[in-house]
Amino acid sequence: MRSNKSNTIFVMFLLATLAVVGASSVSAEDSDYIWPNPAFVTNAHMNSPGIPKVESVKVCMKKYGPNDWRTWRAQYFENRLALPDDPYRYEHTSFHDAFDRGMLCNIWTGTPVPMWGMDGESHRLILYPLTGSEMQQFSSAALHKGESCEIHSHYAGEEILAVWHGQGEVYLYDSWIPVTAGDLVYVPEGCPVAWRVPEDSEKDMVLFIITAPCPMSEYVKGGLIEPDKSENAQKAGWELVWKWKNPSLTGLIGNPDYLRYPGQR
Amino acid sequence: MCGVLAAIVCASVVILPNVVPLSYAAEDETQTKGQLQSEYDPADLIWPVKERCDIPFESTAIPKVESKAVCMKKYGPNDFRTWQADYFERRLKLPDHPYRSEHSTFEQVKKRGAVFNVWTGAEGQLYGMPPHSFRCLIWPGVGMERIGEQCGYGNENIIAAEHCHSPATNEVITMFRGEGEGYIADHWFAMAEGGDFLYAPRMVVHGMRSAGMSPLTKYRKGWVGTGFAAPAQWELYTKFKQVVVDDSPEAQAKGWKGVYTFKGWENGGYGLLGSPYYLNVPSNK
Repeated sequence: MRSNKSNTIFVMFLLATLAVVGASSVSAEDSDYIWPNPAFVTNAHMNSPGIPKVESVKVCMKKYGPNDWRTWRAQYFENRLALPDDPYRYEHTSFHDAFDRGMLCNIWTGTPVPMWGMDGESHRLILYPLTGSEMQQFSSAALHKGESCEIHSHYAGEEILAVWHGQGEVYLYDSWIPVTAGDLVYVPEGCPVAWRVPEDSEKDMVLFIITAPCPMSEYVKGGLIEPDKSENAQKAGWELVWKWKNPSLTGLIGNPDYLRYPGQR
Repeated sequence: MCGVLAAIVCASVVILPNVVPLSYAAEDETQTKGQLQSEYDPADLIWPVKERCDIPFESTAIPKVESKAVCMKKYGPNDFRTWQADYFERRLKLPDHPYRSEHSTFEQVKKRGAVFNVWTGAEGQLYGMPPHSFRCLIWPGVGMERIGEQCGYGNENIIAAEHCHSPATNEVITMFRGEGEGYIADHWFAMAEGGDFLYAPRMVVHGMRSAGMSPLTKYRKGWVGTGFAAPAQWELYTKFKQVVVDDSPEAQAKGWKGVYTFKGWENGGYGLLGSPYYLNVPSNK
């Protein structure tokens, strides 16, 4: 009896140890990630697609090297973690807060939207009507070597492309132009534009893109807004009232379904 | 024993993300404070160069830039003038292009756009910033209509004091390079290098200043902040007298009392070849 009990305790201890070691080996991978950090991001939104999952600079340097945008992003978040947090940061802000008092954003956090051949991880809408900005849209595009976006234009908007990190090329009007961090490209209304990083480039490139006015047609094309076909909309006799398809994509704390609808506040 | 080790590993995993060591550049003792325009030896200048810049070199829109080696020696690695030198050295390694602003006119910019940069443009002085620390880069005076893009530069103890714009304008200000503090609505906060920007909706007070001007941050390096405002800030341009009421004899002959014209600085005062006199007067095209 005593022997059986000892064996049971030993087996339980062994299982518990294996479980803890197993769990710790999973956590070892998790420990590569420095962001989102629960002390800086509201828990309920840790898994929002708007919040990037970021590995440490050390890990990025080992995996990707110093000229990859993921390493630059990791450096930004390590810089962030060394500073005092603030309640006006994007990660602590709701749509109405942003609309009323503004907020402190960053180029790495925002709604991932596949657009012009770019995937959502590398193209994010940061400030646009769903995050409280009505006059301008701010987005970011991060490209690895060999990546490009499609040549496109905005029929009712002007644009500035600010090269924030790295180097690459921008297509403007009819030709490709080499650009480097610190360059600002002005794109007039309707002018063809694109960006790319050649395969043989030394570095990736990160663009900060300002568009005015906000290109609502892109939100329709990108499936961000859609006509409200709900029962309530039908009851109200709404035929073509636009609503946001998935407001939780932004990573803000709370978003309205509509841009202007008093009941949302 | 194994369990204890595993527990330690687990505890480390939970704690470590909060204590990740940082890799900031070391503080440099040679940093100069406040001095924004330095004496230079013309032999040390790498910019402007004739084959890259058609605008007269005496234009105040064109920065005079010493080499990075000289800047490193005089100012150290954390001074915005060293970053400016770094930009122009990178530029000089790239092939030139006719769509660069230094080769473009107002009309060309309106038609096909252009490539500007954060260091070149019409100088101004505002919000308590010292001379030579602020430029209008892309704005209606160079062909853009909807967005006004400005840039401020500073090292230690430089402040763009709290302010707001006309009721129609909202603005984003980036910490494009370096570190500092930003202000929105009612308080200052720390801004990180590598991606932070603040958003100020209409009539929301905002500002920017060097790190170390409050206990929030410690001064380690200067800052370069870019502002993007829509609609463009006409009150700013009139304050700078970049946009003025046309009181020329021709305007008086036409009976114009309050028709605005660009100041028409010759010599590339706006950072372009030539200058427009009006935004939308056909005879100027």
